[in-house]
Amino acid sequence: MSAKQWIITVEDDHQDGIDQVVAELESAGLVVDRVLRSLGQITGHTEDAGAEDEVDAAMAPEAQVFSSVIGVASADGAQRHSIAPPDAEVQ
Amino acid sequence: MNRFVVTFDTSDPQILERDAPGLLSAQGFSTDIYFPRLGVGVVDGEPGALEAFSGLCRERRQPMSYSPELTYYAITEPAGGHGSAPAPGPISTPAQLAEFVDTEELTWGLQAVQIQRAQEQDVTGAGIRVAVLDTGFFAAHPDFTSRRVVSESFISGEGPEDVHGHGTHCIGSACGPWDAKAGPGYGVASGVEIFSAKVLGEDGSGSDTSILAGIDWALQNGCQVISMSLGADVREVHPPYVTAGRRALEQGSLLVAAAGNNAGRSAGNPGFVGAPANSPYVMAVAALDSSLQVADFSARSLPHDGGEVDIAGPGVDIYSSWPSPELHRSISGTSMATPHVSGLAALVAASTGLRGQELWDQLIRTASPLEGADPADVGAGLAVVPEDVSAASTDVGGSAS
Repeated sequence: MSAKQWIITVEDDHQDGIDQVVAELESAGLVVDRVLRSLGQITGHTEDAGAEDEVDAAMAPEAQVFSSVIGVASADGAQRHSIAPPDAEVQ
Repeated sequence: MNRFVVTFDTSDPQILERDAPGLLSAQGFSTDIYFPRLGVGVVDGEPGALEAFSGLCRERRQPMSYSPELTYYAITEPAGGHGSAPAPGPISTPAQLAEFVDTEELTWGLQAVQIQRAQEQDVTGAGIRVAVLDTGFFAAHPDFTSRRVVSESFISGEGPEDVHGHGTHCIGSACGPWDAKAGPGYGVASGVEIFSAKVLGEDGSGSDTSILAGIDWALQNGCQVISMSLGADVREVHPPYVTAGRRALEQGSLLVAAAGNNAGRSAGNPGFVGAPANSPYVMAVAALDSSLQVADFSARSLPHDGGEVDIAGPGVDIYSSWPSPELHRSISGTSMATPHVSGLAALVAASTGLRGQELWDQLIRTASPLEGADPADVGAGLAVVPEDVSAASTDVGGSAS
């Protein structure tokens, strides 16, 4: 069981009603971490049911559920980004 | 037979998903490697056949462009006959052997970006806010005691201070001093307000959720330039950054990101632009060495829209700030090239008033072309302080709609 992080992008014409979208996402099972009002995006997480393989986030059932909320443009799993350690020549 | 990347220039899903592969098949091209969401495929064919296909697509009002395949296979012959791949090593280009060196006054990077033009006109970027999304900032650095710095951490359990060093180095190149207390000046936009968002933890890694929160914070604070020396080595566009980049531009803010260090050019691997730099609306920056040759590690363009390298900056043996006790260090990477371009964006934004897409266009228009370099490696060329830094060209290209 590990938390799966999500980025929900709100459609342009629903940005003014982002709180409504947040409420519906919460009803759909998203634990909302941040509402990014300037970007019109919402970050949050769900408890991963423990699938053995790291499945493509787009195929996960949550993605379908969150995407179907009115005002949601896309629901994407979060990626990790990284840089080299401090003593690396190329960073 | 050669391999070509074909790109259908449309966002119409009907064309991308059905018509385009149908056209390819009808003309005898394979659709084994075709990405419907991108409208990009890789096919085998003779150049003449591709040209004929291009004409056919044009007639059907489904414009297609093609180019020799660059990225899906590593070039295994280091000095093969492929004209587009520059041979490794600094001695390969006879036309240009500039070879900048750090002096007591200025790093080679500041010299290369023509910082003296900004100095002569006293354009420091004052009035502009630059956000650097990275590992934080060493705020007690003696070179920054007189500067306004706003810091925030988006990593849970960690404060905004820089334990890694990378963030302090990047902030130094973008926003550091022209005249340092010791050693050469190393910062491009020495008069900007600094906004440091810690989106990578002490271990140098972070998630989209932190990075997007950092972008949102920078927008809330009215930062006109957002510098991101970070990335994931994935070819696919990550959708959240497409929207983030577009909305930032619409709000007058430019996202600048490192192309990536995944190339090994001397070993025949040109690499590819990673996320988020490979998104449309995010400016991707390549790294040059002090001879203005593309760095061995600097990633090459991907064929999809937004996957290209847009511009290049100094990125090899770059001297900048570092946390104590060292205070300064020289390192290399597209991470180091990126803040040079971000600093230049701030100078141009301050002197011309241009923002967002217009600022992007001006940087591209005023970049210094690099003779002998492939645009797939360096984009428009080396970002520089424009000769007349305050002149905003009226020849403004198309803006994001």
